[in-house]
Amino acid sequence: MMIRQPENTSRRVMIANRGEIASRVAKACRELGHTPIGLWTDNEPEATHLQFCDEWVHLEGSTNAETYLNPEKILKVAKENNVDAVHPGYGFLSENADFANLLTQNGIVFIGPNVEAIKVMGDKATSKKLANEAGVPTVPGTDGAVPTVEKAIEISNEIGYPVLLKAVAGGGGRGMRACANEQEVRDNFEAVGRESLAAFNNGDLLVEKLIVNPRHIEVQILADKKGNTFHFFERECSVQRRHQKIIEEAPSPFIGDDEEVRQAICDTAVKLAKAVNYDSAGTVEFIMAEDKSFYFLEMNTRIQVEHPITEEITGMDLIVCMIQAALGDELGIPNQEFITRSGHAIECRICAEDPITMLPAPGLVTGFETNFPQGTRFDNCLYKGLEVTPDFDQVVGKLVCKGIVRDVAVRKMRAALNGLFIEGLKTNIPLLKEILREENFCNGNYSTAYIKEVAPQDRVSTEFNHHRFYTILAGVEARRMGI
Amino acid sequence: MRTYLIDDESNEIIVDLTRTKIHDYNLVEFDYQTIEDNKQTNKETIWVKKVSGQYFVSTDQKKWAKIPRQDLPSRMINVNTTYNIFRGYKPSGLGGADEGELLTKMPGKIVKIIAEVGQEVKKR
Repeated sequence: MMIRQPENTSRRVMIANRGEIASRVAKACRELGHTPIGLWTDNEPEATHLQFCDEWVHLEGSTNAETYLNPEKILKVAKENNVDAVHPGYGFLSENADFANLLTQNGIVFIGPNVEAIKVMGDKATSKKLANEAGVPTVPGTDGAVPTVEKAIEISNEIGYPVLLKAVAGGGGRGMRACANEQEVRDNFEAVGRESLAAFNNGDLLVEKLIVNPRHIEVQILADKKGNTFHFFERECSVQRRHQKIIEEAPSPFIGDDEEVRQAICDTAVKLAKAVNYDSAGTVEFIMAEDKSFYFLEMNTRIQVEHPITEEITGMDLIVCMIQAALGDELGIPNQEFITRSGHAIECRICAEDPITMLPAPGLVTGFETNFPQGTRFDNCLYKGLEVTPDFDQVVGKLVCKGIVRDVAVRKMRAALNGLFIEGLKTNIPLLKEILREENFCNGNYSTAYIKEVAPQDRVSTEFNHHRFYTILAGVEARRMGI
Repeated sequence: MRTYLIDDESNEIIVDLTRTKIHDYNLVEFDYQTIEDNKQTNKETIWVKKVSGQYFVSTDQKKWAKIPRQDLPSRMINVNTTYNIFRGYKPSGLGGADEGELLTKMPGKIVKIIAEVGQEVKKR
């Protein structure tokens, strides 16, 4: 069966974003016969994505607040340029219900889900409530403050140990304590309360089941405005630093061949999407315990950074589908069985950051070359002369490799990383190379605590590499000599 | 030609290009070494070959690796350390010049030398 291209009416699609995702959306627009309109700001007159756009429009201003985070200005520019639809990419205004509403009220299509779905899923409490109502499992525990230590013990006994005593107003890992038994709850309750009061001016605590060695597993969803909702299988994104993913893979090595769990988590995601009348591309994120029980975390009502690995294993173009869904076109997907998967895909986020501290390291790209194995995909915004600034996310590219099985994908990724040359910037490439050789990762045996517990960053060699410097200097000399 | 690599903590690595030999219109050979404690270390011969508009390097002319095309960068990265690059001179404020070296205040061009060999000069 083939996906039939519906009778196409060319639309003018403005991309309210920059970098690699703007390039990606522009390419999808061109494929569909639409006119991609790219934006450039005062500090990015040579933005990489413009080369893939048919029209370039100046969005005045330099700061994000003046430009990509300014709904009124984007609307004004869209109206001036007779735009039919706006694709927000990810980040910036992609999950801003007010922006989606503003566009809709002005007769411009927001390429994303309906406003109500963004609102419901954008609020953690509301989305958890909706998930519970829809029968989607959430992490067992209390929604509100627990008044006394006795009540905390009663709840802990109910949900089972270990539990987490957590500040209601907490964040960033502060005001949290794991308790393995009743005595530990008793010992820690007051101390965590005091700590929370000092840190957040609120001593209220809640009790939650502690998921030991959790895996971050998410399901790609695609729905249209005609009531069709499909899943595109799962991705595993457990390699994270500061709660931000750096390596993602599909399918999940932790789920592995357990088709029953795979089916259950994918069906659950579809159930949740249907419950919120979802009508675009989105991702339902879960946390999975060691016994493969899973709990709803949140739903991202936009395209995800890591969507390419799903595209690689399913052969479907999610951005194309997202645009089609928003414009009310036929997706051409007759049923769920139409979407199949094959092979294994891995994505490494290439970030302008120190490979050991993993802190952002902006700078100027002085050289950029690739020498990749066959079939490597590199979605990026790099070029020689690019100034990576602290204003934007430090992801400068997404390296994606697919193999018939995971081992082949890992092998290809190692070769691809060896064939990626970015000069002038500190990047996380040395760290990624270390992870791709590390035993636990290679065996697919890792949790969200991987970076903290396995600490591959500590194995990155910082020894001065004379040979590398000689080759760079030799290359420079050769060019100076006109070779 | 001497190249100074100086990191943010003023640690210095000196790389000397000691020999250049052009073999062909697309093949050139360089000898490099590092100076550490006034001793020559890490001597290496690097061949550079241009193929299909791309630059490749080798140490034995059998195994070739691609390198990015770039002009002399103002800085280079070694994993997590940034080195500022100074080709042929060392800027002042970053340590004194060694014997046989010229210390300059800033990147510049020598237009005239007014002192003669053996002449005593005083700091003004």
